[in-house]
Amino acid sequence: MPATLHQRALAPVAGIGLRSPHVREVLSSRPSAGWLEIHAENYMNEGAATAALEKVRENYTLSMHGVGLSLGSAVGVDRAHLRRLKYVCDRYSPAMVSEHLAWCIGDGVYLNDLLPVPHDEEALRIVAENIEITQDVLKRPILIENLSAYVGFAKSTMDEPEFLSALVKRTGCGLLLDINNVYVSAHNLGFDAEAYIAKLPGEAIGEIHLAGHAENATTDGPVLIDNHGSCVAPQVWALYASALRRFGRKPTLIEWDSDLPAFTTLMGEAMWADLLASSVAEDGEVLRDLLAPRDVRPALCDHHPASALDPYGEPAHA
Amino acid sequence: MLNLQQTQDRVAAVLLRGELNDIAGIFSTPPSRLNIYRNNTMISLTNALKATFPVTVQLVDENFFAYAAHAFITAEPPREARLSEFGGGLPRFLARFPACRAYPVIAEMAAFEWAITRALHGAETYPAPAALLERLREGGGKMRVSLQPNLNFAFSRWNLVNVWLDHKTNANLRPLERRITRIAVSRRGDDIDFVNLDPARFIFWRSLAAGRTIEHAMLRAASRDPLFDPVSETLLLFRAGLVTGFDIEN
Repeated sequence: MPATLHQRALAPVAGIGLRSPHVREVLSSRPSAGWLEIHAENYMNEGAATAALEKVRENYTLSMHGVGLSLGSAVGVDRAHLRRLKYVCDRYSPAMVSEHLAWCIGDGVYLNDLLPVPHDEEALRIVAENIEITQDVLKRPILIENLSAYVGFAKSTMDEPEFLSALVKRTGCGLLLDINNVYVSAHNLGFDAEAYIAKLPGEAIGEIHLAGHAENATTDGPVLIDNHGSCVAPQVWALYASALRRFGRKPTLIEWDSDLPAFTTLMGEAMWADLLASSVAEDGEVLRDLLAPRDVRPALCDHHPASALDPYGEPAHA
Repeated sequence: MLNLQQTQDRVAAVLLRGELNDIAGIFSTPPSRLNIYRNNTMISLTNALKATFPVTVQLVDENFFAYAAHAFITAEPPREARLSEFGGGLPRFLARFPACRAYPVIAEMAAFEWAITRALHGAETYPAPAALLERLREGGGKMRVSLQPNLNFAFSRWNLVNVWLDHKTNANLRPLERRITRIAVSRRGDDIDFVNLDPARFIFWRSLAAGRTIEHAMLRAASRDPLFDPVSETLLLFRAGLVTGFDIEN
């Protein structure tokens, strides 16, 4: 896979996900975000958003995050989508490109959600092939993000850190560690989040994601939902601190996609991530007590009744 | 044991059609948790439609729109990951949807909003200078002009622009005024422009946008209005910044 030069590397500081309601503000006031993350799929045509991003990138380093490639699909990646991804990638030369350990196209339909794959040798071979195809087309390594999961597979023969580590070895890809996803999946599937993070190859982690989650009452107990619709939970901050101690500072994204708050709220979360990283780096005690998980419960999520679909439910998130 | 392809086919069937029959043994967690993904799929796609058709939502109310959207998503799910491309079939679907059939304005508003969406996501290229009109005269009617790629059209039996503008400015929606309107929708920067067109001009612009020669477009427009003047009409397009280039038909 030939290497190419790209936009300057992401600094190991907090960045913010750029969403359309904030674009004007970012252009007019140039807030001091360390870098910005964009969803590639929002810039795959020649519309107003694309023109605005041309201006944004003059002042910010970009990390490009894909949500539609379906790297976990047994039928392979969507080649037409991959061509569009390359177009966006070439146009904006982001410092990082990332996608998910997930599939999202089934029976020819784009499901607009990220679905997990079993962790077995067959899936490993398929995902690795799809990553290699992607990296060959993009001519650069990509980061693979761990998913938040609500189901586990009976046929899995390895845990997710082993699966991700094997992908790194086979394809040369990096990892995007979504700590909220680790927390959510650990709760939903019953594994130890700290142990999960400890098993990852730290040198492969190129970016970290932090986001909020919600809780959904189901017939088999509460399920955490990765809704990107609230502040980062204290337990996730604590896991982040643990990851910082283990891996050192990494570019860290504040992700917020539903019930989008004012940009200043995102800046506040990013500032907290940077403060925490500095504190951990200096082995400071100042923030430690504040970061211990408090008795704060995630917001109840009424979007996902477990027993039946509610087509009239309040809008939610993918 | 199912392979990955079979597993994904069966999960997709649950998500798209609620077919929970064939998933026994796949999961180590309760199968009912697939409803979380099913809800994510349906609700996030419904939200995407609501974002594309906000005034249609306001006309029919959110609950009804969610009901119609659910039927639409089931019938015509997206085939690719660009959600900006999803929803083009909704106006036609609403026109035939039994609960909407008696209220054609709903489908017509959806068609108008889809034209706006296409304009928002269409490219904006540099307009050709009006001085090039002389070259057009040299080429005669065999010339073919290129129009702004973001130019789109909508036809309705109601005055939809006023209602859309009311929505945009958070004003109370004015009562729908029954009046045939032919609208050109285009984008200039972040702004959307609307131009009300008379019948002949509507035909002329649409014919040119479809790649017809000026002669062909003119003949079609003249069939509606014998006094149609193609020179001044073409100049109008130039002045509106809607012409981006031209070539001569071989």
